[in-house]
Amino acid sequence: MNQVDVKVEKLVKKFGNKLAVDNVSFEVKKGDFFSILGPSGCGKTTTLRMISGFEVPTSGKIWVGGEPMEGVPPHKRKTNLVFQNLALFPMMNVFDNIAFGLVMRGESKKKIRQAVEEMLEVINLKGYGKKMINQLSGGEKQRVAIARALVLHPTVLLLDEPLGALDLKLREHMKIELKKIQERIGTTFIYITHDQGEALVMSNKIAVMNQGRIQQIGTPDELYYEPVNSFVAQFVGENNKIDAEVIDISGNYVEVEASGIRLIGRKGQDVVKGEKVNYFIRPEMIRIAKDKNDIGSNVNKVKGKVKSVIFEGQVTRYEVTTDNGLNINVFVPNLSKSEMHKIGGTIYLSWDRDNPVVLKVQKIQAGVLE
Amino acid sequence: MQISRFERIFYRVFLVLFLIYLLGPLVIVIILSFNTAPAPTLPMKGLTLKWYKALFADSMLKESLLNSLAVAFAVTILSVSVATFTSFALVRYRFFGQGAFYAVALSPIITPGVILGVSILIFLYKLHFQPGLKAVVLGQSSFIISFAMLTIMSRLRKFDTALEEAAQDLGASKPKAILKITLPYLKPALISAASLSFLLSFDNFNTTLFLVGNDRTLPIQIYSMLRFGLSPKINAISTILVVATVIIGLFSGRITKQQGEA
Amino acid sequence: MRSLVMIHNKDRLRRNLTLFILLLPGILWVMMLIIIPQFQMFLDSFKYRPIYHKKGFTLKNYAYFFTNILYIKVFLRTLFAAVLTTFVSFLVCFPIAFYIAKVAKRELAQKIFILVIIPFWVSELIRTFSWMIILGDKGVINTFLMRLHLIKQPLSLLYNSFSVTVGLVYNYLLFMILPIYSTLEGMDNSLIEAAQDLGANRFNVFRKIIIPYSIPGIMSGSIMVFMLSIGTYIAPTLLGGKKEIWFTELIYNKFFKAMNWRLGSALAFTLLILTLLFIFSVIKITGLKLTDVIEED
Repeated sequence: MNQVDVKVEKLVKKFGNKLAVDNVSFEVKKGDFFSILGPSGCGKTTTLRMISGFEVPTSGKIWVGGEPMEGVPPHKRKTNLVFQNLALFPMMNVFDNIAFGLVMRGESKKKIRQAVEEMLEVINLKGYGKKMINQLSGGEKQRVAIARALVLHPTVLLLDEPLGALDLKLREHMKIELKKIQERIGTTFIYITHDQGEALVMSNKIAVMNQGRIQQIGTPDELYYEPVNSFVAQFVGENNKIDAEVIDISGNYVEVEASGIRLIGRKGQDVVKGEKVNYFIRPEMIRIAKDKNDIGSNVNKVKGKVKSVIFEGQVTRYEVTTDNGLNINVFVPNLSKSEMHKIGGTIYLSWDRDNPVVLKVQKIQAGVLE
Repeated sequence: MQISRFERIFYRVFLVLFLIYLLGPLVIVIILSFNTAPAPTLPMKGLTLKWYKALFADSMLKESLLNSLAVAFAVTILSVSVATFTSFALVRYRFFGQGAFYAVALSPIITPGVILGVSILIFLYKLHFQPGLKAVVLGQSSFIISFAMLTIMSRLRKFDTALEEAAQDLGASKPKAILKITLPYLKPALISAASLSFLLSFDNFNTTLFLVGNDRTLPIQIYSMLRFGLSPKINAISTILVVATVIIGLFSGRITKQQGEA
Repeated sequence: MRSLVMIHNKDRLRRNLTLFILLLPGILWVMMLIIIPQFQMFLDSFKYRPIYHKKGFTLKNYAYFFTNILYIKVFLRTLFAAVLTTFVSFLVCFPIAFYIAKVAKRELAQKIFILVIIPFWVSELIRTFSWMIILGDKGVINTFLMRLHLIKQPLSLLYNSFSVTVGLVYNYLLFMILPIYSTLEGMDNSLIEAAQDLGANRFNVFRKIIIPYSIPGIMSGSIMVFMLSIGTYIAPTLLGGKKEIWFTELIYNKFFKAMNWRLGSALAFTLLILTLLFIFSVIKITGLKLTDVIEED
């Protein structure tokens, strides 16, 4: 199963003087659920439109199913796209929408009927063929749009933020649904999103993109635990970012100073002594204790006061201000009903040295991280 | 909006008077077409259909009707096709001089029809092109295309180009995508542009007057009958036209409404 | 790289070719039926009549027009009547448009709307004819009044500027109602409510909120009604007096009776300029765009 379905090499796209996609390369293997994750305007949609053939690359190459795509128009590519707004044909019913591609191919009526009925079953919309598009719910439209593309058995299915228009609850549901459909039929998916939650849940590979460039490609847990730069550390999952300065480096660990306290973390990038860096520690990796003696063997210790307490169900979120002025968020999993720390109460935070990571300071466009 | 009782009465009375002003004259035209009196005036002396029978005997009227239908048909075809092409160019592309082109293309809507008629008459004369029905087709199209274009453009603007891309993505070539997706989407606008063009052409007088030469369209014929003297025959032809246009109007309104919702 | 550049050029070529094909009929139309004819008319208006066998340009046609008191009278009377028609149309149409857009319940509004539109599907000629029947000496009104013995002699209602104005307003009022209706329709009711909430009475709500909001619609309606009235031939010749001729009639007479096309061109061009002046002064005063005005309808 190591066949490469989509290969992109040194892809560049300029709009006038603006560099929308900057030297992007990646490979998508057969059966992958591959996500391109990034803030709006990062170039992910442009990349997708180049793969589907609606934009011509300024330079670089694309292969789909081993074949170069240079000069191949959209309708001759073995890629199919689920549009951001779905683009279902409003003047046709569900059946005709799904059948459209097969009709274009000139398949026989019998074959089309059979294929469409099969597809309706796959998306759990059996008997919906005669319905018009405006009679469908948001989730049903979603599934029809996917079916319309999948019925053509594309080498790769491209999805351009198709869940964006749905309300929160339906989106949660469709995430799982989409993943199930993909597992059932085994088609390669390339999924575009700005929602890191969507990407983490569904994908087995994610490319994080920003300002036209790929920041990191990896499995969801790789991105989460081993971000290669400050952008990825901030964009994927929640993180505490602490501005610090390198004091000492020993092997894979870096000792830093932040507002007068010393912290130790893994070395994520090559840094030198005296360099300004970002020290990242995820909120759920911090232990919170009332008593100084409860800290245990953790090397990083900070004393502070509880600033706010938010009960979120599975976890309780504490906002803590340390004695030296750092703001740190802590998630405490609610394994059973237990008493919460009080606002204003003194507490001790601690964490080990393997979870936090030290990364170079990276300039990030304002507004990219909300 | 909430209004006081006094205002409600004011609006009601005003509206009723207005509707009488608006519809009364046409009702009178229709009623008097059945009057036996030799001039179209009250009181009713008796009911008759003789004025309608007289219409069928009038060969000039028949000929002018056929002329009008032929002209309206040609104008409709010409206007809707030119307007469709132009709408695509204006909505889908950005090109040098677009704003100026658009302004000039809309200008006939606010140019008096007499001026369109006169200027085209002069121009055609320079080309040694004789006045007549062909000239009328050109003259009427000069402004009817603008109306058709406005109608088509406003729907084309609402078209989501992602639909066309979706069709291409599913294996349709660009021309096929336009044929299968965009044109069906435009159908209601094309129908209403066509019926509007037909109606505008069929009724046109001001521009036609200058270009018609010795041929006659129905409005020109009716006009000369009116100059000649009032006759209930004119009421009869008017009644037929009123009924026909209202039926066509209501019918095309319904079609465009249904299709527009799809 | 090189092949990519070629693809780019090919794409651009194809785009430009498609655009050219799409635009070609439109260019032919705009050039052959709008620009060149009107420019030709403009040039002709500065030429001598062919019978003089003189080449070159002259202001004679315009001089003749502007020094002829009779022509000037016709010109001014037409202009005044068109302005009057526009103003009367506004007075009649605004309450109706307001009522349909803001007061009447949805279903009633739709019914009124259809009733208002229906007469405008009927030919202008027939609509004018109906007023000839109504206003004539033996017309509906006079017969009616004489039967009631309210008058002995028929009132002369037809063939004067009164009948022309009545007919013109009747013929073109839809062009006033529609744009006003569509601006008012787009107006958020909460604007009215907010004004009332802040202490404005009925009159002030109209003066400060509703009228200013509907200015674009009023202007676009005024342009249409003015242009249609000043440029028509039907109502003035059928409803107007023999002595009070309309400017368009003058143009027609120059072309087809006096056979003086050059003078006719000068008159027609003056009419065009007058219409443009009216439109542009409206646009200037209100700061609208030409395309807004037209698309309003």
